[in-house]
Amino acid sequence: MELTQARGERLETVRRYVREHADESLDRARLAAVAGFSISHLHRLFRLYLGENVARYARRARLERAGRKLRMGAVDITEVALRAGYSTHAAFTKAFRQQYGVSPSEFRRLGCTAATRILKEGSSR
Amino acid sequence: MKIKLESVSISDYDKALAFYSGVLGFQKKRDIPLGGGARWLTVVSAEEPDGTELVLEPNAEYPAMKALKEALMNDGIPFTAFEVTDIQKEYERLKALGVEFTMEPTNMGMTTVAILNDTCGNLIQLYQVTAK
Repeated sequence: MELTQARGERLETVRRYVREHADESLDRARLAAVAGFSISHLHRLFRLYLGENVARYARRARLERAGRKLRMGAVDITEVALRAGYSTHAAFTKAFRQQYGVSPSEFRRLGCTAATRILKEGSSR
Repeated sequence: MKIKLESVSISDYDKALAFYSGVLGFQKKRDIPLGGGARWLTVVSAEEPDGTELVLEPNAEYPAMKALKEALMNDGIPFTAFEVTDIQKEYERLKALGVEFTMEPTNMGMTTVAILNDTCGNLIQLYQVTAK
């Protein structure tokens, strides 16, 4: 299926919406409305052209937002975990380590330059 | 020696003024035509009308500034910061006005911080000092 300019713009709108609402739970009906596609069509296009499903993209966006908080020195890792959609510190630590290769507490101790590099490398995986 | 000016990089005077005045709530302090469409445009805090002026500096298209702004935006790093007395209240007020936040109020120990998009290509940090 060809990625027309109109489709590409709609997918970019969805990506921007997901990133802007990374602190909220993913509402698939809302996403479809934003895109102007049906939910099933949106998922098919998203996976086809962006190489991953919307839920995985949203998960990465939430982890990146969490990483940015930790880079600035967020005190309460459990609070960061909850806002990123993880119910426990342990689950968040596991996901964060999988994405970025370090634990949240290790990451928080890094300087801004090193932390930014890790976020960029991890977000492109 | 005093610090009387701070600046934020913008490309469109009126769009920037609409956000910094109409949304954030700063007051226009000076709007002086400089010729050729250029203006010396500053805003101040409504709480400190004689305080530090924020220059809306139209240098966003200068190549080095453009590259810096894009890098800061992509990396989620604020261009500058403003202090507020109640960050949760300010966050809720601005969210209701449709402002995009890239970080909701987050406890950083001495401060609680939030980051918003100023629609002019900059991330702006709001902070409340919570411990002294």
